[in-house]
Amino acid sequence: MGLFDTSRRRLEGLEREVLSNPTPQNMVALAESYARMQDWARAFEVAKRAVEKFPDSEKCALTFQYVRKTQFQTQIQEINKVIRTRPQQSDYDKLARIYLEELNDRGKALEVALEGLVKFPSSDSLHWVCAQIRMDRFHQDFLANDVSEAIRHSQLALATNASHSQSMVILGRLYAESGAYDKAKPYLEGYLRANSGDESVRQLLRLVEPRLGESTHDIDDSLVEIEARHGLSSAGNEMMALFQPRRDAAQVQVTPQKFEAFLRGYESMPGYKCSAVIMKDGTLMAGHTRGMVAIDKFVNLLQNIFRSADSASRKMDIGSFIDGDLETSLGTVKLTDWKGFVLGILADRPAKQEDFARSMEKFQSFMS
Amino acid sequence: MKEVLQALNLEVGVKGSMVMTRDGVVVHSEISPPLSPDLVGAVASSTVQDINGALRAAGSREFSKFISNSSFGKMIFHDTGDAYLVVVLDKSINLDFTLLSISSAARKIKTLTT
Repeated sequence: MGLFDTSRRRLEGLEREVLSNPTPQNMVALAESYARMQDWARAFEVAKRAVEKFPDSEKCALTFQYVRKTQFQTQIQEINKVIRTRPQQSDYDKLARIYLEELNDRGKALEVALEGLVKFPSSDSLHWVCAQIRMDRFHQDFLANDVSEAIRHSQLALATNASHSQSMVILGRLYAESGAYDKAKPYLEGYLRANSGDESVRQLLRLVEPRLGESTHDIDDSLVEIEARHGLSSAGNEMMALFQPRRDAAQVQVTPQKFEAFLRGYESMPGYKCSAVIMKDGTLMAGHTRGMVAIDKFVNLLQNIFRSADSASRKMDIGSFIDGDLETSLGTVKLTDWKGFVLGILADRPAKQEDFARSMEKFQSFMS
Repeated sequence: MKEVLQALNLEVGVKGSMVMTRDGVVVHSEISPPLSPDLVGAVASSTVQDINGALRAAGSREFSKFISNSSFGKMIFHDTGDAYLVVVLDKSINLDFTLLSISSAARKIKTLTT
């Protein structure tokens, strides 16, 4: 009875905390508490809100996927069993869509769709799943390779099924966002012939038509620019916003002095040695050291780690770098990219993972 | 070494693994499509050399572990004495559990290579 009261009080405390000041941490803790009580409906509701509120939080995404996976476990197991024994194209399609649409696990959905395409290479629906995921990835990371792959899969879907309107809209959107308005127009018109009531696509066509004369001649050049800028042009942003709520992509304005004052606050972290904030292009914003490590050497190290890890991610086709941990003889370097600013902290024992995690959260709150 | 890497690849979320010397030469690779062993080898080799070069310039020895988390996947480099164990992972995994398996594989490889 006492134990029950304690956990109920803890749960009520968490509910109040989430209501007054929702953070990824307390929302995940609340969803996990509901899940432990087997209250899957509430666990799902909180995890869904967490993902919507903090779309970049890995913890929130993993919790949502865990709750959803539990709800879909039986169905997934059954489809997997069929796939192992007598696979049909529709099984891969069903499974990929569960991962994509219900579990929001794009990585797994892409894996299933690609596996299905090995057996059923002309499946328009599996090509569409790949194209959709690549487009979503492009809207998150703005990497040229994702657009190329989305276009390739959409064209393969259309080669099998010339009236596959979902592939037409992907091609129309991506060409338009990349400035290839002349290429976008026929796909948008083709889509609207079958879906005349789609107001977003109609609006997109309205934005595309007056710009036909400004169409880019080389989409590859345009994609290189987008990747370097890590974002679309203003016209491209306007077009993307027709289909999804505008994400908080605005560049945060913080002066180097404010960063320096903020970094000094890390002196209270156990084992702290030094820290720095750089821009993605390597420009130093601010640095702070306790003196054991020269700040210029640490900044050089941070620039190298970030450049190397980000380049590796892109070449490996796993998106852009988010964060990392490097264990060295000087201590552990923890680095994170948040809204275009890369924070690196070097700390040695007795610093623990929790201390690093708290320091990173502090940075994210400061930047928010 | 082949068996150690194959067993590691059976862990949830592990997409492939390889062992490479500290100067970036691939010793053994268990990387299968859609990943390309040549690409993973080249990327891992350049990452190890860039980071270790910068560490030496900062007065540090070479790194013992590097976890790189990207928007759609992870890469882990784990010291095995004379070489590094490189593991490519899915984004959605419980890293704490997988790290235990990776550390255990790294220990086994260390005994094989020393």
